[in-house]
Amino acid sequence: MQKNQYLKSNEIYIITIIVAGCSLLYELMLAQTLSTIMGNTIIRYNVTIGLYIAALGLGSITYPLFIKQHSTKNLAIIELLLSFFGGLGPLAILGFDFFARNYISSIYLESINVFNHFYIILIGFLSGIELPFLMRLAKQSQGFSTGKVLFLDYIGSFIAAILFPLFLMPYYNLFGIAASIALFNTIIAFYLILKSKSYKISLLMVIQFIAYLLIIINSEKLSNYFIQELYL
Amino acid sequence: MKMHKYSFRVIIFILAFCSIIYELILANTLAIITDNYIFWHSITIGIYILGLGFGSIRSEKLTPSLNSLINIELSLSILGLISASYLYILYGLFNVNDFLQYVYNGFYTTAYINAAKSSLIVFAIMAETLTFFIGYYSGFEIPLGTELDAQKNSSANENIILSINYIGTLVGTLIFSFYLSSKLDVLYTSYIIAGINFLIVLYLFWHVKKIDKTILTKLVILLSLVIIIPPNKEWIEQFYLKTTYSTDSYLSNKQMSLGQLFSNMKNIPPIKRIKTKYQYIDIYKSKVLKQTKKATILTLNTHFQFSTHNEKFYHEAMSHLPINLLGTTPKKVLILGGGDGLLLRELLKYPQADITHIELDKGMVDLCKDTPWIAKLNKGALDNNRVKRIIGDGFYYLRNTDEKYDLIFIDFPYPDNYNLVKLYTYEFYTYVRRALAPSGAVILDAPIINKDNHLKPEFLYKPVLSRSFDSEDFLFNTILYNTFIKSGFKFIFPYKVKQEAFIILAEKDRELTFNFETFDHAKMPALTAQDLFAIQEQEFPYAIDPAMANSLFKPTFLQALSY
Repeated sequence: MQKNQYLKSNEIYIITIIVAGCSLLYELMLAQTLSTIMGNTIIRYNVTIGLYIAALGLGSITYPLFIKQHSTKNLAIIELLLSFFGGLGPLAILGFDFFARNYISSIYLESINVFNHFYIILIGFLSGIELPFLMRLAKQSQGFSTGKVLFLDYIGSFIAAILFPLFLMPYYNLFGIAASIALFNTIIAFYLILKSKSYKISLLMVIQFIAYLLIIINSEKLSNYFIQELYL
Repeated sequence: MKMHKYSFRVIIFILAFCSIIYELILANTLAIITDNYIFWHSITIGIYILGLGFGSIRSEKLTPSLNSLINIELSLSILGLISASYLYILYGLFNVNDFLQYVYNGFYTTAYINAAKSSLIVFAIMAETLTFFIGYYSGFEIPLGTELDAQKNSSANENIILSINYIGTLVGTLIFSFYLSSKLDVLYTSYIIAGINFLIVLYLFWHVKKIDKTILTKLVILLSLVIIIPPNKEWIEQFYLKTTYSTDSYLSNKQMSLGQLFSNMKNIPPIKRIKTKYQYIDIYKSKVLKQTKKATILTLNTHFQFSTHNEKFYHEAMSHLPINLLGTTPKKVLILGGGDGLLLRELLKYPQADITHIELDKGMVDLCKDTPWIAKLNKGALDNNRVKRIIGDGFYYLRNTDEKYDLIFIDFPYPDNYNLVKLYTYEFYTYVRRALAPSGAVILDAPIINKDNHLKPEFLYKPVLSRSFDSEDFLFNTILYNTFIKSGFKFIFPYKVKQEAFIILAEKDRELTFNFETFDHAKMPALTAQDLFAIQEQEFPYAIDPAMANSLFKPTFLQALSY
């Protein structure tokens, strides 16, 4: 673990809250999108939460198999992947549903079940890596409290749980919300990559940032277009 | 007898299973008793997570031992046992308090409204405090379990307990969603899960050497509660139901004392509660204002569905009135919702009509078929062979159908949770429009509000505030209108009969006949000439704003729902 990759305690705390909140928000948005495609909101939400939590477990326990170093650069890559897949989640679900309905309609139900639940597991898996990763980073830097990191992870989730249904969902369209959260997440990834001084990947992040920004600015128009073409 | 080295892994799995189900019980119970799913579900999961956080950080101060785990799990068993019962009783007490406020402050005065608002906040705090503590104690489980497991397994990875906890949570949510919430009443579920939790405690007791005073105290409390609560499940449920629905108490002697209120409540016959896969159906008798006979009322998830004293004018206003206004003869008709069969009864009066009826809840249809007084009320409409009945989701039927209908009637419950808000989206109404024949029309029962919005109590089943049209009503109308416009309906005609509002929708502009003399009055005896004339001069203010249209992907309707 290189010395120049140490994060200060405050940085870890803030990053923990934000990434925990973003992760839960991706999951809530997936649950919402799935209920539009597959119906039965209550079951959709409960299954999504349950599967997401299980995937969190899977991610947290198996990631040491393929991530050898607990570096800020690796965390940045995880965040980049999360913001990419999470931000495009609603669109991906809708897009695949359109594709399955029109091109592989004989196996429509099976294919959307596989795709949709795989997507939840993917987001959950990536999110599951965050918490133990951050806890290790906390341990490696001046050995401060991992319990506090766990606590802040919960706080971030709490904020997301209240924010989404009461302040976001009734006022903004889902595609715009996903892009906004992913934008925020991309900024975090960018900050981490700057800290790790590994600048090649930062170009990808800038591209992603601009792409999401464009989506947010045109979200109402894009939303109408996507719903008209892919859903209706 | 020594504990198996993997015991704690199994225990943590079961405890995680129980914990998440407690949270789901609380969220679902609060959602149903207050009739607002999204708000309470979100707040509850948030507070639960907050509790988890505080518990997990507090756990660092605890010495990991069998005794500490027993202590935690005893607390959880107690809280879990009382969870749903506590909410029912708490809500019942708030209903009683509501009545007392009415007596002391006068019904719907400013003082009463302010007291009602602060009561709601107090209720929310008291209810969510329970959620917080269930989360709090659950938050100890992962850290404690990890330490205890590590004491038995030197090569333990701290993530193993974390993952087992996650998987237990997943299994818990799946079993609750697919089995418990549809088959079992929440009260029974809470007793069973607390029981499982307690079995774990007993297992741990077997292996502990010394029991401290705190554990003994909690054990005594738990056993006392087991004797008091589950045997009185009926009483708890009836207390909640009677205080929620007891309009008799409001309407009789205003100067009633608390003692008289309780004895009155005892004398009310038990309120019948039926649980179907999708909802709770309650049936009770009530003396409606200015009526001499008692009306029978049926509610869905505590939301009013119909009352015997006024359902006739409602269903006539929804069926024969628009048919006469449109000047059509019903040929191919689709009914969505209306599992009580009352709208069906009216539409069966047209012998040439080919009727398809879609209802989601088979339990509702069976109840209304098999209960004698309801079958008498709907005149056996649900048993009529002329009707093609489909049990299923109206949304997906319309999305996938190629059929075209001349008339589509939509008789859905008021949208107080997201599943129902879905049925008021522009996506849904686009499907409705596509299922219309060229000069077809849609008639729906909608919460649209007219300018002259003075609610008159004698038409309703309980007293309500008489008030004027305000900005909230304007928001409501705006959302509805823009949703219909975005779905492609050019003709939107709302009308109000007595206190019920309906809307006629058509793809192209229509001419309606207001020549009331030519109407088939024999089919609508409950409607007076006054009712018919009134619909010509009603005004429903709204603003044009496409962004306000209610969508699956942006449910603006949730902005207008109250808590």
